[in-house]
Amino acid sequence: MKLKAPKFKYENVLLIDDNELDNFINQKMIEAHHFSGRIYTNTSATSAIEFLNNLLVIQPVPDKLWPEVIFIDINMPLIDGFQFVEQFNSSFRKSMPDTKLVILTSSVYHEDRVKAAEISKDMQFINKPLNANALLSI
Amino acid sequence: MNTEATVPINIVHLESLGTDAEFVAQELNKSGLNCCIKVVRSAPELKQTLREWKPGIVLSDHSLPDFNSLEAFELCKKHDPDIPFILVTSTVSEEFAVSMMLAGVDDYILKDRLQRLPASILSAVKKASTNKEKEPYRREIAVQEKRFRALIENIADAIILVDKDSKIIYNSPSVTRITGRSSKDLIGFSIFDFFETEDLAGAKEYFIKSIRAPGQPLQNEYKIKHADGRYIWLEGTINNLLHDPDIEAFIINYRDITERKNTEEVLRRSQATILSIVSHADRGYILLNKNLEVVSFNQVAGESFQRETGLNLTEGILPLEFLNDIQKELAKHHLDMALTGEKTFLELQFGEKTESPNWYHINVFPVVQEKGETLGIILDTENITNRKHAEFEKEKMTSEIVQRNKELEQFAYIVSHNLRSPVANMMGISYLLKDHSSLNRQELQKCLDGILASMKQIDEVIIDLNYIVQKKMQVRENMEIINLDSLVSSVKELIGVPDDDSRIRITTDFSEIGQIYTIKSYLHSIFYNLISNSIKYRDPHKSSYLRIKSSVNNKQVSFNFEDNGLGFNLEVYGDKVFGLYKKFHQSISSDGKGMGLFMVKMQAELLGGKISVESKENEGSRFTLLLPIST
Repeated sequence: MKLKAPKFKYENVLLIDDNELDNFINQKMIEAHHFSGRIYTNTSATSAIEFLNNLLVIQPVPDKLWPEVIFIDINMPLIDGFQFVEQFNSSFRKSMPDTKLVILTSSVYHEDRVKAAEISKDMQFINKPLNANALLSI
Repeated sequence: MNTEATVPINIVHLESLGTDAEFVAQELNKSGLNCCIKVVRSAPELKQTLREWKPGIVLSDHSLPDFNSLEAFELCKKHDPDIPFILVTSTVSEEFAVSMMLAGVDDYILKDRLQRLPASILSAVKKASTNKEKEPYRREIAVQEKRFRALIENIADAIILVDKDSKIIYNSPSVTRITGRSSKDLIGFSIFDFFETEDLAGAKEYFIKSIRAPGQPLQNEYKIKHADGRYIWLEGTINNLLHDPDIEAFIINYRDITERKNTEEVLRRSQATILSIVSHADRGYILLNKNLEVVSFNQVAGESFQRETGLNLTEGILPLEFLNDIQKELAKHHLDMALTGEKTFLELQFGEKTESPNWYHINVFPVVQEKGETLGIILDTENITNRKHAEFEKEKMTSEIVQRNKELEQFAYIVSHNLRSPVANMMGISYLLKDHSSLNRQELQKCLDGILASMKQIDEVIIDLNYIVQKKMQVRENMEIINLDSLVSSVKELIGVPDDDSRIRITTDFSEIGQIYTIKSYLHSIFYNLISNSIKYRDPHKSSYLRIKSSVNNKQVSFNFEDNGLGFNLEVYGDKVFGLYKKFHQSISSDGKGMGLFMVKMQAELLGGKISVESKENEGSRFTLLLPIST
């Protein structure tokens, strides 16, 4: 589906997934649907957090660069998706309250969905693969 | 006539006629008897003289004005029962004289035959003095006799005297008390009359024994019938004193032991009952005293003890000594509780020496006296080894089931993640390819590669899951002798590690054991995973190595896989390293799905072995694989 509107829904998004193929597919999907102008990718939660900290240094109140949507995979080594969400909420939520966190996972395990709701009520939970409807809902 | 008396004899003459008194005096003078005569005429005079003069003899006429010789004699006897008294008279009949003699008068002399008088006086006086000498002895004898009589009459033991014809000639009062028969029913009867027919032979035998053993006391027990009809038991001693001239009888003394016999009988019966319960039970009973030493025990306890310790259970043993320190403390605690009067129990293994010591359930009971004092402890033991083993089996099964469930849960989790992941990717790629105009050539290629990679991933997960599901079914099949050097070579080839690989140097040392008999595919998979892990997680800043060494002891073969790679934090991750799909490092290569070590663990266990790991972050890891030697 090709959106005719030249304007993007969001300026910046951040993809966090340890699997490069996943990041590639997600990125391509976002591009195809003109979901976002700029797409950041990280392959680990740690490097993502570092990245976000750097953004804050560059621009104390960043609105041009800051990702409005962050897609996170659950299944990642060392620090998994849930842990990232917790860390994000404690570190960045105050300064950037509007950032949308989206769990993007291949898991159909019910427990994961429950856990996501426990951590953050408003957090969206999307099953891979990312598609148009999913992107619309964000 | 010569007189022998050196001391003058004081004579009191009771005579009313003065002339007769003269005649007597004359006669005595003529005889030369050394004497002194005092004549009295009345009772009061006599009395007075007796009192004051202390005469050695009294002569008396019969008929006196106010009283007669008999009365005089009585009077004299009253004063002194031993004083000699001679009747000197003319007017009595023979009968009277004889009766006076019988009464105790020493002699009577007719007045017209006074010649006899001096001699009579002498002999009477002599007799009196001899009697006086005997007096203390007589008194002594009387006292003794009284004493013995008192003894015999009053002791609880019964005494009977039996003559040579077995007739009872005497019975003490206790006989009546014990047998209910009075003397008139005893004396003159044969002692055998009181035995029942069945006991008669035994009684007679004892009698005969006693006849043959004079002077020897023989003791025995007898049963006789009481006067009221019941049977009583007696314990008696018979002593044959027929030969003793003073006794000439059998002395039998006995006591009533009926109560004792009854008590004994009751005790014997209850003992027999308890004994039969105790010896037929399959429970061991041990009685301990307050010092926790063995006092007694039943057969089962003795046998068990022998079996467990190789020693015989005996009195005085301290069972505590046969326990190890931990058990000793536990046991002592319970024994002390029992000593305070409290019932308790414990379970422990007894007999550390044997290979598989038996389990015992021990009830600990205090033995309490009526007043409340604890006398000892009873240990009531039961061998519960079978029950314990059943418990252990059940526990083992339960934990196995729990383990299996956990694995199934993991399985479900894995399926939902690792199977779904490549599927989701392929779906994503399909969407992208639907309108591939937005993709450049490079990106297109990436998509196609991605499809292939995903398919491979799915395939491998399916294969891996197959292993998990099959579990322990195929262990015995496909076992062969595997040469370890060849195995490592083929694994390296599969991974793609040339011998001179710059990434890592792999060295092997199979000098201790170079071959193993096991399932090739499993061992291959284990080696494959461990070697590829070491390569994958090597430290790029170091000159990496992996050393594989085999060693063997009598039960097992062990393989050490030691590398100097990145290692991981063992304290933090510990067991999880062998968990399904656990990765502790960033994907060094994108196909690291973390299933390898889970497979390694399962395959090792399928072969009956174990795998463990030691690791330090940034230093390296050492995996140790243990496999049993199978024949």
